[in-house]
Amino acid sequence: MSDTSSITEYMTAQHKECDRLLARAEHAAAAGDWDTARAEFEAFDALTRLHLRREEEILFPAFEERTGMTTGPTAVMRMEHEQMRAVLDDMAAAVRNRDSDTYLGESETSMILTQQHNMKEEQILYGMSDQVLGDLAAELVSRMDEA
Amino acid sequence: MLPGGGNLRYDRMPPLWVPLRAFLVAPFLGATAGVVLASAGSRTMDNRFTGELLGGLHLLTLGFLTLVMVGAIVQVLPVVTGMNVPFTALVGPLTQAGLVLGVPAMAWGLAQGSGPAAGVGAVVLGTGLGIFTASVLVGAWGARRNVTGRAMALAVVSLVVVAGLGVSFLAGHAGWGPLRRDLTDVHLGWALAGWIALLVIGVSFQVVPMFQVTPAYPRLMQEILPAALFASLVLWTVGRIQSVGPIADLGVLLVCALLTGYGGTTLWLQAHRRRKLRDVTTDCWRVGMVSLVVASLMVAAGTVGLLDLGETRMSITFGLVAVFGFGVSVVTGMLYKIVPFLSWLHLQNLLTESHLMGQVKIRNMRQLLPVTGPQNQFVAHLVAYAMLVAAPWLAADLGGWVRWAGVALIVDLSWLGFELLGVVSRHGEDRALIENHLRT
Repeated sequence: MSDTSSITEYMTAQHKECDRLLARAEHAAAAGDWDTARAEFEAFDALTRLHLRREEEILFPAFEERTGMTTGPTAVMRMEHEQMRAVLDDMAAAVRNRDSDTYLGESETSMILTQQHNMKEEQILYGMSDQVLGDLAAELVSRMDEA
Repeated sequence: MLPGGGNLRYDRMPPLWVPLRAFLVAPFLGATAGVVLASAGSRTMDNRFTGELLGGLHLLTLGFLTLVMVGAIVQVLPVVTGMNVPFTALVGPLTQAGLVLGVPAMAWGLAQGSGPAAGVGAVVLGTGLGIFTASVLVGAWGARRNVTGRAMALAVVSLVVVAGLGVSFLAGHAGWGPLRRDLTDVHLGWALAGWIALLVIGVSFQVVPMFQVTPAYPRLMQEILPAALFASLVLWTVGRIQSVGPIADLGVLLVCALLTGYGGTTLWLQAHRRRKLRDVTTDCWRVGMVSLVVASLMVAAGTVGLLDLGETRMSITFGLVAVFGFGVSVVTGMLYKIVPFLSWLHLQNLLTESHLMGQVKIRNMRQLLPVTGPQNQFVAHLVAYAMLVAAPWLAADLGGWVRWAGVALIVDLSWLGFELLGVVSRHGEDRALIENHLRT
């Protein structure tokens, strides 16, 4: 159970954890330690996909229902999530093939795509969510935590 | 109406070519500064006001730095402010045209002592920058709640001061009025600590954590630094114009302390970056931040009488550390992230729109820009930096040094330009691949 009721804090902490895992996987892949790289990548991949699902299935629908905006920021975020999943697929293939050049290239792409995406969420969307969802925020955080 | 950012639009990213055009032309325009040095040689360094030095310096500050910075603002501002499309569709190209046409005219006017060319430069540059600053200030008002938006607005106000004084100097060179050399320091101070540093600071709050995966800048620094720096510049300017020495000195020392603190913080954040792989952008920013701290300490030492910044060689060295060491290094590092990412994002969006994701494989960031080219170019950049900083000290004794420093500068920035052109050419191949797939 999370001890925070703020959407911004809860989601931002997950972003940071994903960054940490990505960096560790990248470090291992660059060193040619594929067993570690594979384990770290799988942890990164699982947490990232879980985080995206939490947003798409719980946070975004609540935001869209409260604001009536279904074609605004959440639509763009959903599209970027698809792009992030496509890069995750390519990273997974590179880990399987132990292809460090491709892995490091995809990892760099994932990193920059994710960072600019996270920046928009952390600076705009989560803050807006905390404001418009107000009383619902704590409940949403605990639902996402159980997902 | 939504609170806070109800008007913020993620879908307002301008067409790829608007910022990219500026990013591709800028390195080559900057490289012409090297042509000026290589052709004029040692006489460039006779004093801090030689036409060749002024012309070359402005090819770097306006032709390279400002052209890229304008492109970056055109890219970022619509996303953070939700400004309307006419901004990018009209103002971007007009400003770029003003710079691309005005800067060479101005540099020619200064280097050749040609009044008419300086006059043409003044009018074209003044018009381009005037359109840009006016429309950005209107747009930035909408982004005032965002720390980067606020710093950008203060940077653009600084640009108004810099450009206003600059155009009046050019008018002086053209013989249309008095040439107020006594205000050169005010122009220089607002250009370096206002326009360039404030913009770099505002942008860095977003892009250093984002591109280099470092911890965030301290909240307090993000909230206070841009306004404090701007206020210190105002204090210095008032003291300087009213000839109240202690006030001017206090303002300068505050500016130096703030910039040293910012540079030190950035270096600390970079030392704590989560990614451990070598990254050329981080290398460039490290050189830039060390140079910013050195330049600030030089000015502080000059203010308290420990260094004679009025001495020709010392003043030119300071200018090179600030403009080339800080400005050119930081902007080079930014270009190495922005250009491949924008190209990749554009291809990825094309795939998404065409429902071809997973069917057509496009290049990743490192395939668009392989790492070895930029790493080697970075070495060329360090060589050019070292040769330029040594140039004022060796100009009198080693006749060819300044010319070779100019050649090193040409190699440095042209190489950067070709690396970026490589990205665009590979982007074109992938784009053709997608279009072929759509046709079949």
